[in-house]
Amino acid sequence: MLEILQTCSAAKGVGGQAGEAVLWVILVVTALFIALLETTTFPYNLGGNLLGIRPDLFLLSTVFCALRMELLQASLVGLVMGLLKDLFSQDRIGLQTSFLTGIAIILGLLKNKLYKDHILDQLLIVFITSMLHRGICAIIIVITYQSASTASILWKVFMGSLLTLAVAPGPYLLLNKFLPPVRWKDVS
Amino acid sequence: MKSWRSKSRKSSRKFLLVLIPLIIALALLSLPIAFSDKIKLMAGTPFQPVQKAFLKAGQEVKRAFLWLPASWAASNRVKELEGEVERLQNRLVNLEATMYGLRTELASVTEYYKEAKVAQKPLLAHVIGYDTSDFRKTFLIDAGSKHGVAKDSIVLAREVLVGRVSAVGPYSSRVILITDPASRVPARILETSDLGVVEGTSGGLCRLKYLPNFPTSDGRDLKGFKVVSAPVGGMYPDSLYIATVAEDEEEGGRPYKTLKLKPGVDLAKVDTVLILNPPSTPDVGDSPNMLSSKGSGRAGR
Repeated sequence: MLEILQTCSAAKGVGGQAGEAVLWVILVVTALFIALLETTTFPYNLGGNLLGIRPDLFLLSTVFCALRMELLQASLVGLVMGLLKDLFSQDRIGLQTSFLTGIAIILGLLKNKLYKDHILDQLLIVFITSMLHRGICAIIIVITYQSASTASILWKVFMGSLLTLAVAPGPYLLLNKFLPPVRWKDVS
Repeated sequence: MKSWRSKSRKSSRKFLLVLIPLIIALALLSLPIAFSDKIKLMAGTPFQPVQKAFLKAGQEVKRAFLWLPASWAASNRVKELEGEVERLQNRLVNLEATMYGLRTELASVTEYYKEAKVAQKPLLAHVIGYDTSDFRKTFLIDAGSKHGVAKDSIVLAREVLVGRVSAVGPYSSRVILITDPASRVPARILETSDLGVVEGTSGGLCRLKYLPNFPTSDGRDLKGFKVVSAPVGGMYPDSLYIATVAEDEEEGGRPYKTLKLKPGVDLAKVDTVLILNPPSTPDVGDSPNMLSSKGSGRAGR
């Protein structure tokens, strides 16, 4: 898969459309793989049951792609990731899709101000985005179902974001090598 | 000037293009819940075999990791168990005598209710996937409408009520667990017959709410008391074990009492479930579950 990514990024550099198609196929397959991990392996196996929290790989992928891709591509990545997250959740279809697409667009627009190519900058962006995303989800849950326990929700917002931050360096190093950042050139 | 205008037009057109995915996402939110549930389950069907394989593989790896420390602990445990077996053998003799008496009673009761019995075939299903959201507590099972699962069917695991079916697809269904914040189960405390509602908290525990504030347990601490389902509303059968009271804390300034509950089964370890279809509305009073009066206590009277 790494070789394919390398070939694809090289092809993209030349401007090959086939390379871009391969990139999308890889992204969709990665999204499906994440969906399978999040619904089977992470929740209750392989020690993933850390008091009910798990890293949000959907958000992680959306953030990193938003920082590396063009604005339209980033929003499409958010759409794909959000749709898959919604498909395997009890939440209303469209909820996570809207969140992740919105996050991708906002990060895509702000990335020139935020992004400094340094790992710490990106990890900080991941943590803040994760806190905001989880925080908004938590508020919706608390407002919709008043029975949700505040302590448990706060734990999930903070510790879930920390766990997402802890796994972020892996995808960062992988993407840094095979999907170099694209500067903001869509909207100016 | 012209080139500046065309540039700004181009960029605004591109920006509108970027907004299309967001508009699609927001439009999805307006879909009716029943329809979106159906779409989710239909779209998830092709992934069922892969999900099953992932779950199995994960379990195998976990087992391999746990084998070494487990075998070390097992040798110590064997010694403890040997003593326990001896005690239990003695108790068994007493229980056999009690059982003989109860069996005679049961035979007569069975004969009495034979006429009113409604065929209720429980369905066996396996858990194939969990919710992607940390805040929701649901799982997917590999049985759907083609197997006879209906919406609002009751889901049991090791004879404990774990939830109900919230959406049904042709080959899979989504089960909303008792720990999900959207779950509400009418229940009562077995020992005191106080009625309340079991609500999920999105964490590992549930809450029994709306209990009377005045003491009905003769001043006893309610910790350890069993909570079972109550047939209020007709959705859940009577006397299905749900949870045990984990915490009985005095809370001032509230018109009702709330208890913290620990589910009767570890929901993280459930892999096989039994599904009981909901009682059809006209037969609610005739359902064998509804007739079961054993342990219904004061509330059933």
